[in-house]
Amino acid sequence: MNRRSFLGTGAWMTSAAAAPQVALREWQQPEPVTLEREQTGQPHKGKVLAAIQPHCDDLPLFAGGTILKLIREGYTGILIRTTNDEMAGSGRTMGEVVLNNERDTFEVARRLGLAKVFDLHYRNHEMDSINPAELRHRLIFIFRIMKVDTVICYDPWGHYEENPDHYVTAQAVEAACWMAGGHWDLPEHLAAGIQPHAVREKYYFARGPQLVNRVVDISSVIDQKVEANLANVTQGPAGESGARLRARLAREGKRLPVLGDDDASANRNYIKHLVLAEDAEWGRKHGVNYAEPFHYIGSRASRLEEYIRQNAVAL
Amino acid sequence: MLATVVLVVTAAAADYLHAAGGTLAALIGQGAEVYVLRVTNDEKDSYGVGPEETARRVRQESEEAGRILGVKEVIGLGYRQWELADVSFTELRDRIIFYIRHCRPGVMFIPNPYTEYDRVLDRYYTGAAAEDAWRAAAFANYQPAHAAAGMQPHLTPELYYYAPPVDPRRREPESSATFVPQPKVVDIAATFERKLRAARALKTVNYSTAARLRDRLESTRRRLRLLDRVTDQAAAELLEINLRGLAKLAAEGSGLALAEEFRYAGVEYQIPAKYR
Repeated sequence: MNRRSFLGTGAWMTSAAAAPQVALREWQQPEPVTLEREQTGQPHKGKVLAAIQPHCDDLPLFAGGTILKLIREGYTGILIRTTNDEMAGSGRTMGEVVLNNERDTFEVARRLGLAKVFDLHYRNHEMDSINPAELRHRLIFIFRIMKVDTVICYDPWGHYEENPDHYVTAQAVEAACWMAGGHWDLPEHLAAGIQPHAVREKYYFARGPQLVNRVVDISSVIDQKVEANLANVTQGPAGESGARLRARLAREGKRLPVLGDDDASANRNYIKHLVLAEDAEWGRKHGVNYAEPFHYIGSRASRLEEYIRQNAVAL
Repeated sequence: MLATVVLVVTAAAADYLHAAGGTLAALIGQGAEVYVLRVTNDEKDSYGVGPEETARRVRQESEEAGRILGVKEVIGLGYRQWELADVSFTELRDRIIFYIRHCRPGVMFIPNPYTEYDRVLDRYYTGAAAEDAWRAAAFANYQPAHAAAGMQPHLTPELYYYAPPVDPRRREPESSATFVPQPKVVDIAATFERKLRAARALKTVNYSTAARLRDRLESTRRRLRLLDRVTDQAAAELLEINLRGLAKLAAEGSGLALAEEFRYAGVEYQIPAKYR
């Protein structure tokens, strides 16, 4: 059942007569999917983008194209990684795994055009034991000092997300976005000259089902997205996986033509044609070559201001 | 004293005044700039007044008390009084680290978390977080994002642990004078009156203390003539009796008349004697 339709049936209400029907009608409206196309020039110049991920391979896989596009269109970007990735990837010791992932993170940021990395270094897979306010406070601090206008992050409402690092990070980001604009939240920041600053736009991505209302055309940056994913050699499905697959097939006396004739080509082609296959599917659905899906939340137009514009009369 | 900035961390409005008010008044007299970080909102320490109104009153009164003492600013973190068990240790520690790096004190006063038989656990939670913040603020890898705002790690050279002198083990010799903060007694005869005036400003808390003492006495069929009628004046007199008594207790054996006592980690703390 469609989630929006389900909310509109009233089947979940114990008393249909007592249900707030006006509110429910709004949920029944189908939300159109917007195709965000590439823009010429630098329309976002002066704005700050925070790309936020628990693990070093999240953003490049799910939102790398959109980050590259937005940076090209004028954003200044930062990367926030919430965990230390100690549980994932290659390395002889856990310490080496942490270091390898840290290096990959810095390289991913460089390839995505993100100017600064904030590593929060929480323990990988353990974020559900962190006090929510503590994590939120750290994000509020960064949002305020960097004057973040837009975030890209996991969807806090994405379904069937089994990794606590993903949903804990996402929930903290969502709350921090608006609390960063409040004067009473963490007033010590104001005492130190750090002003409240609310985040206005959010691009949420998800591994599972989510309410997609925006698809971003990333056709012109798909090869750069591949390059960013190549940087994740320690963990994840990208990095040097193509060369490893090519070697395995050779041992079995086989080859995949799509991988090309050398390891470097195999790595690039594997990422572009296999790892990012869904980007091509989303593109096809929306009439472009490659695209990334999001639940997008932007600044809402003020109804009051609109009402004043239409109805105010001279004194 | 090495620096002119002093950061005081207190769980409740009265704690630092009662245990360290005289010493702070003396430091202020020598030119120190004192900031008080008041962790809770004191919402419960009243008698017959609701929590919101109590919090509002005590905030005003704590600012007045700070003004009388000469404190530069009383900063409230606003956590609910006597509910600190539910606050994350790291969250509270990190907020104190922020103030340490922002104020860059030369001296800190914190509740002693090792005080025994203190049933007010807010002091324990605040003291433990403040002690860790004092240590951690010097390490760049705690809250590294602070550097992006120009807030550098900060080592506070002197640390005073304060507590009312009621801990029966407070003067027991410790295992190592080099590595354990040692007892320090400070003469407050010259500043006691100022401390008293500041503490009197906490009328809501003082009234609560007096009224609850009267109730406790009545429950065992006793009475204190001073409290036959609990008024602000009676509460102020009871406060003076308490503070003088504590100051005399702290002065015992020191040759002083009135004193405050601390555990003190000074500039030579944790430096072996042969390297000083």
